[in-house]
Amino acid sequence: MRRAWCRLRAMLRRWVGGAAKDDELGEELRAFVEQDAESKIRSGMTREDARRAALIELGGVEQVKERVREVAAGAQVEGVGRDVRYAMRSLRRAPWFSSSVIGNLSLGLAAMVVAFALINSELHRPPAGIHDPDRVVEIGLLETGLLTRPAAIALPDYSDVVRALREGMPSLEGLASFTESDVAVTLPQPRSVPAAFVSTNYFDVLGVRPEIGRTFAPEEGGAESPAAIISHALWMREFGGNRSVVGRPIQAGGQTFEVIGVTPRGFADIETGVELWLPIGFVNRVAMEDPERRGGRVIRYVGRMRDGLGVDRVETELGVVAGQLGVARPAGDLGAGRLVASKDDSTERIRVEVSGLGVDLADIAAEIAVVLALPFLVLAIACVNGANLLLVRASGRSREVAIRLALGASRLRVVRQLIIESLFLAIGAALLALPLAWLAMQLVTAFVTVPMPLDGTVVAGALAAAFLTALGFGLVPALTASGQRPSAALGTSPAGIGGTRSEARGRRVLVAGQIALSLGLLASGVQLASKLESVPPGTDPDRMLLASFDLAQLRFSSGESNAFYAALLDRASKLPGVEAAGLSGRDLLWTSGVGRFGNEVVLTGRDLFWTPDAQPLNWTIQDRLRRRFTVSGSAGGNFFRALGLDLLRGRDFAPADWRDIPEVAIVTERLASMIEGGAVLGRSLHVSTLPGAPEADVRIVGIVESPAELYGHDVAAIFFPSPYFPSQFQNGTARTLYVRAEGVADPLAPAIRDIVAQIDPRVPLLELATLDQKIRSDTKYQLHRVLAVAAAVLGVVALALASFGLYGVTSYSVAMRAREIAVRMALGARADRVVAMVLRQALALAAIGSALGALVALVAGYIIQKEVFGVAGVDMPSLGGSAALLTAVMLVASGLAAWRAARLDPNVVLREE
Amino acid sequence: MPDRKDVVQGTLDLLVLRIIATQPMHGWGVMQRLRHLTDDVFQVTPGSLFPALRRLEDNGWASGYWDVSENNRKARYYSITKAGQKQLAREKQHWKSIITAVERVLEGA
Repeated sequence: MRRAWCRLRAMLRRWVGGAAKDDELGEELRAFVEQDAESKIRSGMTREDARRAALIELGGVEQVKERVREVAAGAQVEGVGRDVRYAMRSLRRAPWFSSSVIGNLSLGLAAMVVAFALINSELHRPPAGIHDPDRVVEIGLLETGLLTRPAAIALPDYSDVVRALREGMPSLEGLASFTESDVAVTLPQPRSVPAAFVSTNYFDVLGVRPEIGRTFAPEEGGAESPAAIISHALWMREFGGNRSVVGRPIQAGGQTFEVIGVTPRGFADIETGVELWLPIGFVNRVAMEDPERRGGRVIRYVGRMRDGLGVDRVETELGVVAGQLGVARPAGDLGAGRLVASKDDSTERIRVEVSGLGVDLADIAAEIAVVLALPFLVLAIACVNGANLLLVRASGRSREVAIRLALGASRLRVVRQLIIESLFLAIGAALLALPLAWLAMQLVTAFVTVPMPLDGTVVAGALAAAFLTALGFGLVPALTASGQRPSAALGTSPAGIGGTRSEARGRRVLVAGQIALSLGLLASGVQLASKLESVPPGTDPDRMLLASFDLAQLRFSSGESNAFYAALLDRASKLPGVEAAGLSGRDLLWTSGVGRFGNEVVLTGRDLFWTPDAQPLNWTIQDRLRRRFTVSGSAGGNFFRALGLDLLRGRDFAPADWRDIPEVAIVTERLASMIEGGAVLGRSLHVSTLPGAPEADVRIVGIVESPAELYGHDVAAIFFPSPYFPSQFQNGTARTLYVRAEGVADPLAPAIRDIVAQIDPRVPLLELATLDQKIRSDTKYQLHRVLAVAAAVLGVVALALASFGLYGVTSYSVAMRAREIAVRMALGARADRVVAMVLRQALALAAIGSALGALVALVAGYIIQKEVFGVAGVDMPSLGGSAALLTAVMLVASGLAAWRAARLDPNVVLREE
Repeated sequence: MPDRKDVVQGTLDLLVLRIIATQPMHGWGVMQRLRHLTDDVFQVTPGSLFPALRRLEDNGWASGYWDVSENNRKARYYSITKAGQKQLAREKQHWKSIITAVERVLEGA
């Protein structure tokens, strides 16, 4: 204890008068030498010999000093401080070197920081406004029949489910239920709003306090108390944040509700985007019916755990509850089932899924790997550059290092000092990378609306990455530099060292690798981007306007529906500027979720077979006879012309074809090509939808062009003539009006809105957008765009880094060979020969790298095409273009180095020796 | 390697402490005295002597001061402190026990 105190005091003393102490030691050693010399003189040596002998005995003032410094209290700390000062000094003395390394690394680090920010935002997604979200669990009931899917239970049985869950789960403090649906709201224009139907205790369980007003009271659960809560966003947008909104009536789904409260800012339900909350008792009157769960809904549950309990406890309890429940439904029916307490073979069992609100790291591990992989590659390329630069610098300053080693610095100290330099460079790069990353994130958020805060976690991550980077690019050069023998380094001229064959080869391999990686990145990015930018051929997305309706909430009779749609189609076709208008099922085309919105039918060929060719995305082969795919009935009007599809053979539908059960059909060219034997017109197909639903035999009367789906798939589809509403072969009550304009369709939108309001002001427009707008707002499309842009941008960055690397290595080898080149030139070699020699070497490297890169790009391209677009193939123009760009950049990089070589003045170079 | 160094270092510190315990002495004097006392068995170099002196000083066992030497030169003298005397007694005891133990093993073998 006392000893530690003494050492601490000694340390402090030394810090206060560090230089003085060092001087004192010097004086002491001088005194020692003099004393020693004097005693030697006394024993008979000459003054000169005695002095020399004394100095030899001492073994060098600096070495002794260095050893004393090492044992001195606080030597480590002080040494680091000195190293830091030294590092800063030496980096300042080499501004070109420092800024190159910092510039290089900052690009790689910036890419890394953006990835961190993306992951960070992904991990911190629990909805805002929820009290103590760690205790909230979401409970899903799955039925495990033919398909494992969320259980749809008939609404009358809903209260039984809630009771069973509540009684069986003592670990939950509260249990609430909710289900989501779009609802038509008049504000004052009718429009569709994402809504949640919730139990009255929903907000209490989540611990959400309203911004203004109140939440549901326990007695408001039934259908007799029409109360509504609106989101902060809706309040701001539609009511201007006016506090008098509480108590106002709001029209939703044909009912009048009273606004009783506004949720806090940022709260948007368990899922994001909900803007309206209504009591669950209204669900069957106001919500749109789920076409796949007729007569029922998928109800979800949230619970609040008692303090200190874990998710696994809830899971165990729920397992017991679920084990006693089953879902019964008629065989083959996929609609809502009835809840039963006993189980036998005819019932489907229920499984439960419990999850916390926070995103589990393990859940998005794969995503993280993908998101991190590309920036990591770029950072790796940047690190290689940094290491190369350091190696070059190390050979330039081998004398300095050798002198330090000769003067008694331990290897550890030299390595430490070099690593501290690297660390400085990396930290500098991190500081530069943060604003760069911020800019990049603005770019990303322009494409996708992901909140990506540059918060403390991200900055910490950036610094950690910088630290690892410093080790990554600094360790090998530092060990190399300090591993040399001082005598060797001091004995030769700097031009003759640092360039052994194996080292040079190592550097070249690294550069070739860089070139390969950058070409791979660039070509993949360009390929993805060019594919995404291309629109379906034959369509002009900005000329097509889509308006979606669902009359279900209005409880129209089929006559009323028909009248509405007939009037709509008629008036829309007659609008000035409209080329054609048609009506069909909702979201027929150009959505990435093929098969989710369209009707699926099973087609059986009675007297025909399907060719076993490559199946399009929306097909499922069950066997050669049966295929399952999306389909939509086409109503009157000029549906095909509105879609820009030409009738290739046969005839269009006529009003005489309209039946409840269709008798004729028109197929797309793509579908026709799948029928063996060619001649398709006039052949019969057997059509069935869900088991238990009506079936039909239809005759093919026409073949149309295949519409191109998003990403350019040819859609294999079958169209039936259908009256407006309803039809067994049509998707519920939803319809989309397709309007093809003569010019840009966007200006037609207000007119369509007016027409709807004139025909029936109650009818909500679920969506009104041009196809172009729709494609661009598609989330999957957006995600792919971000990926494509990110890959392309990273590819360009990687290319810049790789060309820098090539330039660095080439000009380094020029510097190493300066003497050789000078001798050649002195002996009469022309400048162009020198340039050719340098270029040949550099371009050989670039060629090897490019070849490898092309291979990488081919593989990556194949995978991208297969995974994203569903068809494999390689986009040669993108690959070729990227390779050309790469070659051009490499030529410039190596040309610069060659130019410098040719400008060497033999006189100057040789005189330097 | 480090083990051997530690032993040598520890021993050197003990010997230096013992020498300055008799009377304050400068570095060169300590070195001469050490050679003389050990009949030149210990050839201590300045490279290890001065770090040892610095260690003793930093630990508070010795204190250094500038004085004029026997032949009228400025020299830095080291004298033992109270804590140094205690440490010396402790180290002596420790050293003796080691010697005894080692001898016992060597004799017994």
